[in-house]
Amino acid sequence: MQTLDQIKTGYRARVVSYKEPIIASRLMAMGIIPGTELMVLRKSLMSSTYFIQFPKLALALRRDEAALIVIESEI
Amino acid sequence: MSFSKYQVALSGNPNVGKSSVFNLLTGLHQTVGNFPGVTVDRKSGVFQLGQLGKVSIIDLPGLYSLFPSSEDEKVVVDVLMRGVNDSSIDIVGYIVDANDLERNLLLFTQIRDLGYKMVVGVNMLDTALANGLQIDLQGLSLSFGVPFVGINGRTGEGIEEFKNSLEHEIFNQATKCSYQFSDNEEQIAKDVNSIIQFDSQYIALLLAHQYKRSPLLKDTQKEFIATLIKKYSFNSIDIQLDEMMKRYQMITPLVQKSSSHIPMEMDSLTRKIDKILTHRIFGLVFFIGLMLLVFQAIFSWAEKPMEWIEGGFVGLNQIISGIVPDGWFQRLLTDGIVSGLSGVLVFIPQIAILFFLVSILEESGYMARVVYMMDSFMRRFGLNGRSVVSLISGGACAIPAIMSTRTISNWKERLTTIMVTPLISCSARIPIFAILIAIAIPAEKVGGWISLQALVFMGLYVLGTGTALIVAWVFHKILKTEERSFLVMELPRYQMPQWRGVFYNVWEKVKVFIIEAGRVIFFISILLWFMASYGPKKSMDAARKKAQQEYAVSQEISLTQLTKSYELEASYAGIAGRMIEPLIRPLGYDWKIGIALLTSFAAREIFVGTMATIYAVGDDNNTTLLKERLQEATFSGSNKKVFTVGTSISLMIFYLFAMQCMSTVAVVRRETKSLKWPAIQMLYMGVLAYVGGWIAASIF
Repeated sequence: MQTLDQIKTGYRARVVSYKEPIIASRLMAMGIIPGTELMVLRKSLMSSTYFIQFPKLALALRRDEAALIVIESEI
Repeated sequence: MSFSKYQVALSGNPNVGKSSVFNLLTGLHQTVGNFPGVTVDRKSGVFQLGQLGKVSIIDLPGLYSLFPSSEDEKVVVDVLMRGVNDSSIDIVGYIVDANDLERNLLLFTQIRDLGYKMVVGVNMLDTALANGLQIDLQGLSLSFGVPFVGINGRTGEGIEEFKNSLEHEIFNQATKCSYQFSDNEEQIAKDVNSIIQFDSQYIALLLAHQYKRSPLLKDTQKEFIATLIKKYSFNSIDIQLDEMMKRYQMITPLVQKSSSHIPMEMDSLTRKIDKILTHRIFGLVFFIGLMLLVFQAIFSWAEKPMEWIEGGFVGLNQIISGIVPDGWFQRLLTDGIVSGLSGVLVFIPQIAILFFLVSILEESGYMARVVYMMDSFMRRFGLNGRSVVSLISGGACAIPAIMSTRTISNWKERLTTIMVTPLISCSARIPIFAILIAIAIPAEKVGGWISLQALVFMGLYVLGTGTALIVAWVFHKILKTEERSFLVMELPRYQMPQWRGVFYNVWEKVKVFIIEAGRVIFFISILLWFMASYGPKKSMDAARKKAQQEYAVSQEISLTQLTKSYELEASYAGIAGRMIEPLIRPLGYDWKIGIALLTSFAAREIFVGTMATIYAVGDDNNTTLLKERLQEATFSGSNKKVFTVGTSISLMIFYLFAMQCMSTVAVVRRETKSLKWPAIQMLYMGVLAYVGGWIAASIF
């Protein structure tokens, strides 16, 4: 099972599910539901914070939170 | 604002331009307060709504759904649930970003299902159109059963139509709840409704989700709902997720029907700017540079206006001295009240400039990037990415810095920032450091080119900042919070700041400062003036006589200066200074320094002025003379010098760490809504100051 913290900068992926309901609730309220495409635009120094581009908004996420998002890489 | 009959609430997701709509509607007829019991900004105002006359409006903080995940969001959800229940809110104006309707409409359908009448203001239609996105407002109005009105929060276009719709809808029936309850949801909502009478089944369902913390319920009702949860094996969080999915399944086809579908990415300009400004290395360099500029601006831009304010009060004092006859009343006015007022108002330029710059950073969307870049570093100390801005502002003045922590939504991180910000060396400490460094540190060059005095000065700043971070870490370890620290933060599109909003923000902050800090420092300076001007009659008379005798021997120092000096020694402040001498003796201070510690208790910058009075320098600004007198000073009854290197460094450390600023205490009290936190803060800073001063006195 691949999670968002495992993909490299510049790669695209698609949200499959969430490992914790709390993060699921938060992201879904922001319109990020399973199936939503995303791209890791960049990571901060030490790669501790992620800058993620979704189709309609960009989010800052911590690595711990990225690890809770199950994704499938785009082929 | 209780005079108006109708109450409108503005709601919507964050970053949709809600505040600019609010500003357009109310203009300057707005106030910022707090929701009861919490320090979430409660912006409210009044505006003219057609035939209805003046109506009240409240700008609710941005929210993504009625399932709150932070303390702030809980407050807003409670306001909305209560508002429909007791009819304290008549209608909800809901603002959406035309570029992202689906996500925006989730909360809309939830609020509508609470039973509210609503009007939707579709903002940013112009940028949507520029992106090739066509939106059929009429189609949306038909699909969702409430009016959708195109508005432009920047130009004000469409605001009149928005108001007309509000005026019209306020007398209409609210649309029926459209959410399809599952069997499980239906059962529990029905049973909840059997004990609490709500008009809307959806409120009952939300209470089943949030009963544990809801202020709408009594304890017995909470217990009853708890049994229902067990009875129906109601899995709250999964049911919330299902609800959101069902809502999206309903919203998406309706939105697609009424808008041209285009795959949208964030606009390319924002992405280009971000490539540089959020670069892992260059982004940080830029940010640090920008903060130095802000810091510099607070100092240099404020310098002239501060001089004008001080000059104005000096002039006022002269006018008062001309009109009011000599005596205690004149001195109360000039030395007490006017000086106290001057001490407060002189900070206005710095506060205004700081909030002007911070508002621009906030409104342009840059602040969210700062959090992205600084979050991990600051989190190690229990702080937040936004804490950086407060800490840097603290270098000018702790008061606006503490007020600027409102943008930190996590309470623990915000409190920690508030607690440590006064440790950052502020501008009021500079004159104290300047005179003490001049006394204790020789004007030598280290390694031939670095001034030793400048090095010590810089060392004090580093020491203050380092201590602030360490103390933050300690608080981080001690403070417990239920609130889990999350960073799931939107990075909005960059946009030009709206000057109207910036102006209102600056105005509001200055107002709060004058009211909150002003009244405290005002009363304390009158009290301190009294203590420093009056004493037991016998010793005051003796002091005057002593001054005359000394003047008769040598006219080196003027009689007024000598009298003032001896009077201060004999005054209640002087007595108190002697009383605390045993306490401060280990730090190398005598009772004269004790007097200055006491008089500068409310505002540390008083220190230099008091020393000038005690040593009969006369002119506060004559630092060369003051320096000489201080260097000659000895402990009473001995030849031992008071201002040794040890004492001077000890005093600098003391003023670096000690609170000695009642305006800050007042603002902390306001921002934490408690007496406990300012008390703890004064205590820990006092202990640091004493211990630090003692260590310095022992080493040097």
